[in-house]
Amino acid sequence: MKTLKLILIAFLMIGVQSLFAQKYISKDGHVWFNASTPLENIEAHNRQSASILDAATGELVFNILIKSFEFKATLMQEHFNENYMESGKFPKATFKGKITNLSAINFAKNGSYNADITGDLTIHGVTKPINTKGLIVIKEGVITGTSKFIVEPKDYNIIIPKLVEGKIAKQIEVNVDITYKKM
Amino acid sequence: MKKLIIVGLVVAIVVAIGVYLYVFHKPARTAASEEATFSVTTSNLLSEFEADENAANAKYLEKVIKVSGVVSSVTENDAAIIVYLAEPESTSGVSCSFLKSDLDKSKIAVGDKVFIKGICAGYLMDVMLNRCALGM
Repeated sequence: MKTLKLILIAFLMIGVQSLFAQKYISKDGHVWFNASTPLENIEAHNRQSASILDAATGELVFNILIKSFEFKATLMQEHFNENYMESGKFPKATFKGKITNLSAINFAKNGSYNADITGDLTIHGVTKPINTKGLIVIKEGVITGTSKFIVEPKDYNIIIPKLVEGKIAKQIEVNVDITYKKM
Repeated sequence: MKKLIIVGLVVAIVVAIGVYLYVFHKPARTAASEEATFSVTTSNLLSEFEADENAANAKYLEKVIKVSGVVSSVTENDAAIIVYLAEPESTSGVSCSFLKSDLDKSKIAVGDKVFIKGICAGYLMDVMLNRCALGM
């Protein structure tokens, strides 16, 4: 009887521990986009995106500062912030959503898993639903996530003047590459 | 007359090239070349953002801030060196991003009390300063 109790307590403790250990955090996620056209090479990188992943519920949150996107050309970066993204008014872009096929991912076991992700993306003060695929790689307890999706500036009320319309892609490819640590 | 036109043309071309170079290759704005608008401690800056993010954004965004604090970590990525200022045991702090060419890593170590100037980009879990410069 006593041993049974002990085993029960041990199981309970393991249960409690894993409950606490299921949130993952990253502050240095790499997000970059490519809006290049044959006329102009437009690419910018942000290596300070913050994200929390709850492995128990699949909830996923991303926050990113628009002003932390680095372009090769300073002028491009200024136009991006001042004219298009209005980062003084809308300093952040956010994603709030979840992994919908959570049962297909075993966070405790090494492997590569395809993730279906759905949620709300807010850019330039405009929120739109988004669906995308991601790849989650688990290796010795380290979780790495990558994803790629398309955004269209017009969906987020980002107005590109006629004069430069041909230089900026209408469909912009956004890439995410992030490594999580246990919280 | 012909000579004058040629001289005029040459001048025009030189000016055009100069303007082009300036506009498209002008150096990035960095904190090093500017005076700080505000001087604050790590914990005061954090508590302002925690208390009212919109007000703190209105006050600090795009401004050069001189922040004082204790170095909690120094990390490096493809493009930058991140010096993280935080109180011990605190989960948030001030994240200072340096262009690699702007910081000699041997001059900074965990535990150092430092002044860092940077351009404020906003607040996520930490207050973010970009294009930083190390002060005395």
